[in-house]
Amino acid sequence: MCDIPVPIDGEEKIVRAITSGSVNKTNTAIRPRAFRSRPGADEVSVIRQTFTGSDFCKAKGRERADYVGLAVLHAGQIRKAGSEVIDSRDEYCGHAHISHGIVAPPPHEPLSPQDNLALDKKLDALRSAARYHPDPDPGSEGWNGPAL
Amino acid sequence: MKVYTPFANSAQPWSFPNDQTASLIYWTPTSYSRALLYEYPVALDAIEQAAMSQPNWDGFGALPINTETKNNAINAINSIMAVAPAPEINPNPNGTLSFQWGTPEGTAHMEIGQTRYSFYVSPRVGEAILFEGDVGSVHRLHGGLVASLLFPPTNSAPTMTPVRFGTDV
Repeated sequence: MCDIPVPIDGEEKIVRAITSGSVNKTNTAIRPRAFRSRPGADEVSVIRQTFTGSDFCKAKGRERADYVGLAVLHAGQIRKAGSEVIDSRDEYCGHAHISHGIVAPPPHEPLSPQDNLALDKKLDALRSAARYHPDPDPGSEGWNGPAL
Repeated sequence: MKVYTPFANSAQPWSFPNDQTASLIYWTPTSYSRALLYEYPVALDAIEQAAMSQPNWDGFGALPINTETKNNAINAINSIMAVAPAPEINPNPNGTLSFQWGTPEGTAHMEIGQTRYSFYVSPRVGEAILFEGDVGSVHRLHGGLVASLLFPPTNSAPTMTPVRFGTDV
């Protein structure tokens, strides 16, 4: 039973698990593609940190290959960037999706230029709004970095 | 009197006026913002590195870059860098490669896929210019748009080189 409210308040903290493919070489900043949808979908998996806590976010992050840190932003910042954040508890309690409203192209083919232009503006806004925290010890259990 | 002519076989030999000598002024071309030679191997290496990525390279199910997309990207970058500065090169989760430029004048993005490409250049002022099509149709024109809109020539004083030709030598 999931007792987290379905509506996501603008002040809620939303966390995206970051992997090595989405940061710069020194692991100090995320790249815009950290918020790009997975193939064939308009969904970016995120976690509702306000309700689940930082340790839970890290545990979910460690399920990903090459996990290196967590990026945090408020739900209101996601909406201000022009995207939507929606509860998706069918994955697990505390899971949500960021949706950019752009239909995914077929595998190995590009987005249309109109969609790329719109998506790039959203990704850049999300990248700018997000606070990235590299994990000081990705291999350990529990979040030992600064408060999210 | 020997007459200088720059056109050896022209029917109307060109001559200086009666003052025997003349000064010509050669203007250097406006600044040309193509990639530097050392940037080619760096860009090609970035494409090769991206093409070696494994499935799920981002931990969220990303597709690897296949051989067709890699070869398309190499052909495209060779065309574009002949007239534009080197872009930032990044793989995308969808198995495509992106070339991106950003300056205070605006942004540009070319995404290369297995059979198609898409391109936009969005200047700080004015409407974005959009192109898409068969990946084989990527042309220097795209790089030219990037160079002219995002890397405009600076207004430095042109170099003037006076050249004097002697006659009756």
